Amino acid sequence: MKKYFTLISGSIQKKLAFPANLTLWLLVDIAQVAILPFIWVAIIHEKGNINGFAPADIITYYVILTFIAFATSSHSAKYVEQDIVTGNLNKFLTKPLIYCIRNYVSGLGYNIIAGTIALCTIIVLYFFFPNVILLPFSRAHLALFIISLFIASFLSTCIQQITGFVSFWMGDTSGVRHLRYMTEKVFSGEFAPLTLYPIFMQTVASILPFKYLFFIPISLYLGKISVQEGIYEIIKGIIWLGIFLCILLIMWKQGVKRYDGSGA
Amino acid sequence: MLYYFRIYRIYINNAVSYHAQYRASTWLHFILHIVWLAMTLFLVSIFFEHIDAIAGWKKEELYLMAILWSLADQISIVFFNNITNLPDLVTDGNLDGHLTKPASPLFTITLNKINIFALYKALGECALLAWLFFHYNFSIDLLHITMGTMLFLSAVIINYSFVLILNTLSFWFYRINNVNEAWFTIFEIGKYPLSVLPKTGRILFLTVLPVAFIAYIPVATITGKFPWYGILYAVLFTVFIFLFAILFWKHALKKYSSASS
Repeated sequence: MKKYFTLISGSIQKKLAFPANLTLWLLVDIAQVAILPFIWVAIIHEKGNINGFAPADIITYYVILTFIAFATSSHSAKYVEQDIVTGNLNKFLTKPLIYCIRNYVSGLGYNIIAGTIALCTIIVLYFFFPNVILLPFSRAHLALFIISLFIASFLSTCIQQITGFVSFWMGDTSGVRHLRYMTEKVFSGEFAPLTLYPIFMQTVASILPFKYLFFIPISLYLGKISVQEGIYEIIKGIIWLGIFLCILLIMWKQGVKRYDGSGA
Repeated sequence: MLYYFRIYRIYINNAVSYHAQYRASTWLHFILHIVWLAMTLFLVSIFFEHIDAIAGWKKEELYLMAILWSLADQISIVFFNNITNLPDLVTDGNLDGHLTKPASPLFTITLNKINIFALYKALGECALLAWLFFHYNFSIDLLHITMGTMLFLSAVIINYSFVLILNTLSFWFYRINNVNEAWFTIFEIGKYPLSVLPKTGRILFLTVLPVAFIAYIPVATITGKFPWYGILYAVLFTVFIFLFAILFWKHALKKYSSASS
């Protein structure tokens, strides 16, 4: 375990050593949702309230979404693909590290730094705009929200690494990464709260696991679902996490058998 | 000029030969792109589940914006995508191979790889565009279409210029190979109507981060929503940013010292 904590520490130092790279990743996570609150506020202002979302709800939704993106999102798919395609994976196969865990903790540096920045920014925003930035619905909801963040973090890295491992079979995964990005954007609640979608899309989104990345945590924060429902969703989230971990493990084992290390 | 045309013809031949080996991959890219485009249009339609127009923009106009945005993206990928490898070329020292060739390094870096996958996608989007104009009753005239097309071509030039400026920063900032991902994410804002933003945001996207030029201004021009002085500004901005990008590149080359090769 000590080696992974060392990796986390190294990851934080590496991120701080390249502030331009860190700033760009922060911009990526902000820009993904930058314009959407304005569009929804423009829509909601005309209607007053849409499916239980008032203007303050929607603004808080995207503010918390940005925090979750900073604190839990993984960006490892492209790096995993590069490791496989260039043969860089060779050096990790010879190290006493589990590659998947190594990828997760390597990204934690960014999550810790960016999450801290986001949290401080939200606190400052709350003091300036207390009518627009809502506090957690209750302490129980806040506790469930924090637990859901861990599920979101592990799920994000699983999905990213699974996408990266497709390289063992396909080489260039840009198309698959794009498809993953769009699917996540639609069904995670990143584009809009899932309750604003047409009914049939809400049904599809409720079956898929992507809602645990953003929609469920934010719904817990805003109190849009009860504590009992929240506990039920957390349990389902953990089951989905188990499924993705199994898929990740299988893809890793099968992928390494195919891997030939060419390009190194 | 003829010299560079001959070199470009060789690049085209190489690209066609290379992509002919990966026909299955070409089809896969095309299908995934259609799915991606359908999802983009679906996301736009979600807004109109609750309202008939957003800041004066109707559903078909937002569809037009999304398709034009994607077309601008694909055209940029077909011809200019290789410039996004510049940070890696600089940090790995492989830029030297371009500097020692008897041709403009900017020409060889930008154009030596042509993405045929993206060309098929662009053609698919042109077909979708034609369908959109036939299906929806756009009240447009020839003048606005011509101005809009011109501004669309300007959008491609602006996109290339800005990407060149961002990637040229790698001569000073190391480890910014994610600059292109950052730009693509910001670039995506360009497929939404920027009139919903406060004044500060609109000014930002009309100047420092020129995403408004990609689809918003061309569509606003086609639909007659954009004033004549805005069109003039767009043309002047295109010339300015292109010249600035070239001069910035030349300045960066003077500062370049090879790490290794």
